[in-house]
Amino acid sequence: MKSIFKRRLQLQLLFIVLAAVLVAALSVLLISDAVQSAEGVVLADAARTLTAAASELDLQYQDRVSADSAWLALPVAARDTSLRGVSQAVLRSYPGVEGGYHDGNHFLGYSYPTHDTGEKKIDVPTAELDDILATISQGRVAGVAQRILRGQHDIVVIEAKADRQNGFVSWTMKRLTGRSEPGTHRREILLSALVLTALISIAGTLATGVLLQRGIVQIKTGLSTLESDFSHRLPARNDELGEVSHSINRMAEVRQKLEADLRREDRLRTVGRLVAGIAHEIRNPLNSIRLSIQYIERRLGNNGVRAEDLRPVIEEVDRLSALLTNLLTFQRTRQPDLRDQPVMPVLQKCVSLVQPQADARNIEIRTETGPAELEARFDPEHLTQMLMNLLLNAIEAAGHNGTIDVRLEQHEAMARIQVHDSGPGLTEEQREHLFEAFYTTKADGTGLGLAVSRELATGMGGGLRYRNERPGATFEIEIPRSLCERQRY
Amino acid sequence: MLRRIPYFALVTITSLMIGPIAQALAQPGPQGKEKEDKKGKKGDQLDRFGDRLERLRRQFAEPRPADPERQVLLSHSEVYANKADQIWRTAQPYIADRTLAAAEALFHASDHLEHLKAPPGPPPPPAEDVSRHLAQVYFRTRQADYFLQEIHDNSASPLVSLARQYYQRAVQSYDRSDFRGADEYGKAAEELVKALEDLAQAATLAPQPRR
Repeated sequence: MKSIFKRRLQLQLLFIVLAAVLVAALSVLLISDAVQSAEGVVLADAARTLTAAASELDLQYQDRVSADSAWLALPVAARDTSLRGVSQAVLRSYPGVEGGYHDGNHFLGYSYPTHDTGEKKIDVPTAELDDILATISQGRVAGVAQRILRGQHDIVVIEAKADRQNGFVSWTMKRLTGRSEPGTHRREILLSALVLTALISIAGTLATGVLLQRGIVQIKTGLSTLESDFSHRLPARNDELGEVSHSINRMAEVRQKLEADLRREDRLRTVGRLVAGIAHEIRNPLNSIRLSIQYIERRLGNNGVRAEDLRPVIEEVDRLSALLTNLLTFQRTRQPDLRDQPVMPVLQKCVSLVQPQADARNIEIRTETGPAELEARFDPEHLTQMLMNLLLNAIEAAGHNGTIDVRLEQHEAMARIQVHDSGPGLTEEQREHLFEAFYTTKADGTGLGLAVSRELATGMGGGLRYRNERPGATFEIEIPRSLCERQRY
Repeated sequence: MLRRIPYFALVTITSLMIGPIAQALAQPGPQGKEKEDKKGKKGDQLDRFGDRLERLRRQFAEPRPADPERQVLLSHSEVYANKADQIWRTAQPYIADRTLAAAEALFHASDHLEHLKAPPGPPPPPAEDVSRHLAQVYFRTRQADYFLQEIHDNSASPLVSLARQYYQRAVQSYDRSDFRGADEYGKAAEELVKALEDLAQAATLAPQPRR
């Protein structure tokens, strides 16, 4: 479930693509259905229109006859004129419909008032004459008849309605000429536009999805690299994601600068404390050396100088020497020599080095190695120095009969080494000043071990921190995993 | 015996026998079976032409009404009556008959206007009948333009306007529940369209110029 939400953007894109595909599929179905039903719909519509027109012609004929009984006695030409007036008035309301009457012998009152060309049409169309007559004959027998003629370019529908009392037939006809039908043409244009729009939307959605996905992968990879290398920059892009990349690059620059500033300030602060510490540390041995030499001086006068009398001087000089060694290490600016290599051998070597001291105090060192093949990118000398510091501190803190747990584990792009001792742990005050130079709780400590170790860890792109999770003290070294393993993240 | 018969009498008898036959043959009358079936009826109708024209002329001789609209209608009626007489004289009885029918229809339209001025007589028809009649009149007025087009005579065009005008008045009268007025104006409009139809029929029956 969590991973689904994590991939929310991908899901949305997938949903949009599916919706676009659905629209396209529905459009195709709609077009297919429309093409299949268009002819039927048009024919049904034409048939309804013709039926209505023929019925109205019939009704008006009956009204005309009943209004003037002498009308039937008029010559055919006169009746033709009268009925043409009737059919003109009726068919004007039925666009595309032509028609008239048939009295059994003659066509009467033919008209086509909505003829496209506006030309006056008074003659029954000869091309369909036989079919019209056939429909009229059928209508005379059945009351109503309809005939559909399918041509190469058009469809003609003819309808006849007979008045069985006097044998008079009203007939109507309509041509359905494919593309000339404005409704059909408009429907074709609309359907084509719908298909085109659907295709464009699918292509656009896919293109947007692919570009977005690529951009996100690019940013994700870049951010992953940035975690270990702040000099890395995301590639420039010319889209909205490019603006995001640009912002991230700016943030990285600002952070890099801030970090450099902080490092410089920290170093300056450290130097200040260093100077104070050095003064303090050097003054004490110097006082001790002075007292010892004064004592020797007095003994020289008495000719009673012994070798033991010089031991404090030598010890204090050794102490000063150790202090200077640590100081040099702290001040060292050598760039770490980073290489991809297994962590386990270094860890085992350090444990074996401190094992005698642990045994002397009856301390059990338990090693939980995790993945044996785990590789990381580090300087072996620096890591050894850090581990030795932590292990020696742990031996001192654990006390007699204590335990020390050393654990190696992988966490995403980092390798972690935890050193836990069963000692009393750290107070809040100790935790606050833990990594400060010259801060120590040991009588003979220089207070530089953890400060130096953290400096070394940071230099390798990792870190050193204290974890206040369980009884005792836990220190955790974090170093980046090897490049090939990191790329999986 | 033959010497005793005057020569002019023979000529007169012969011409009396041949004349009607020649007249009948000269007309574009009905053809085939219809011609045979309706010969008697048409003959009667044509025989009445003189009576109808005479009756109409007697009515024209009466004092003319003061109403200008009626005067217009009567004027048109008289014109077409005279024209029918002239056509009759050119031995085209069917055309003459249709033209005279138009004159009669115009006279009847004038009569309907006169009825409106007369004191109320019998009760007007029920509203439903008037409504149905007006629907039919509306349909007839829609035919007026076609008939005018067939007449090929601009002098008839005022009749179309008048027909529509009377139809409008009929509708307005109906809206005022004046069913008598609606009925009379409707009938007047209908007579005007009938006059146009008669004239269109006359024009159709007239010999067409050679193309």
